[in-house]
Amino acid sequence: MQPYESVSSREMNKNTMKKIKFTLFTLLLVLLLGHPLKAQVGITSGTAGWITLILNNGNLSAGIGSALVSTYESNANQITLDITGTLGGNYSVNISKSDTLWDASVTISAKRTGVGIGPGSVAGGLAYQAIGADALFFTGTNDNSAIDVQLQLSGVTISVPPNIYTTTITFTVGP
Amino acid sequence: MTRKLFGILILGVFMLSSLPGFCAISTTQNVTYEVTAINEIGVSGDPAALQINSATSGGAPVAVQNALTTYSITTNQAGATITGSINTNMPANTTLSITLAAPTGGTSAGSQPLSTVAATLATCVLAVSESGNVITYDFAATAAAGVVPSATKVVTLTVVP
Repeated sequence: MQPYESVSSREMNKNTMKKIKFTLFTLLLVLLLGHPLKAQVGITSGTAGWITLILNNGNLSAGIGSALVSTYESNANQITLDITGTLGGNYSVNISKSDTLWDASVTISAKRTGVGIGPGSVAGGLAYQAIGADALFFTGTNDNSAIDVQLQLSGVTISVPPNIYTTTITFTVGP
Repeated sequence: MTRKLFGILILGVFMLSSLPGFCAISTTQNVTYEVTAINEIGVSGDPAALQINSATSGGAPVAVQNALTTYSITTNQAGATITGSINTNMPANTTLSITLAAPTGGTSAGSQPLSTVAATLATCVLAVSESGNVITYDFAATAAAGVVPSATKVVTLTVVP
């Protein structure tokens, strides 16, 4: 046994562990300080969604013998979006839908009706766009809250069979 | 080995630091609408009085007809039928019949005598919303009916899903 060499190996292992710990700490610090927080999108009002719009004989455009009114709009602030955690950066909001039960002749569309509140700015999305596969809705810079969104149902006809139709709209914020 | 490990770790730090600012985050909202069964029918008005007042010698009284009223219909239930009835039956030896023009894409049962029992008059094969479909009333009597005083019958048309 060489006591002097054994002590030297232990010293080296301790130093190695210290360096690893230091590096991991540095990595964590860089991630926290240099790597921005995740941007968030949330809904603060209209949490129940635009639900239970009942189309019945009261929705005939001109009484008996006429067709159903084909287009229906929600309130201008039916959905309110909050964009946070951007740390001043640019972002985009995409929109898509996933049907539970939907009639193919009926289109649901969305448009942005407000600029929101806060230091940020938003652009685009001011005209109704049909919601389907994931697509760009609007863009923005910096945090903003209370961005109003309005929904529209169109293409409703007497040929849509009686039923309850549901879809889930997804808003996704990304870089 | 240690130096290689340090090198990999440092490289990882710089790679992670260069990642985009944030990851995509989503929120959802449900939208629901309901379409209820819609079955509506209406008429343009009352036909003029149907009066039998002539006959050919040796023949039955001449039947009369009115085809000046129409019906409107809106139904979102394919296969719905239109039935008709009157509030009280016709006097003996007299018959009031009705013919509804077929709705678009549907069928008419032709001339059907009216009674207090609802009779099928037409079938809507498709969901339909339209107006101006002709209603034809025929009033006939045999000589055995004798003189029949004027009376009013209430005809009820119903869309049956």
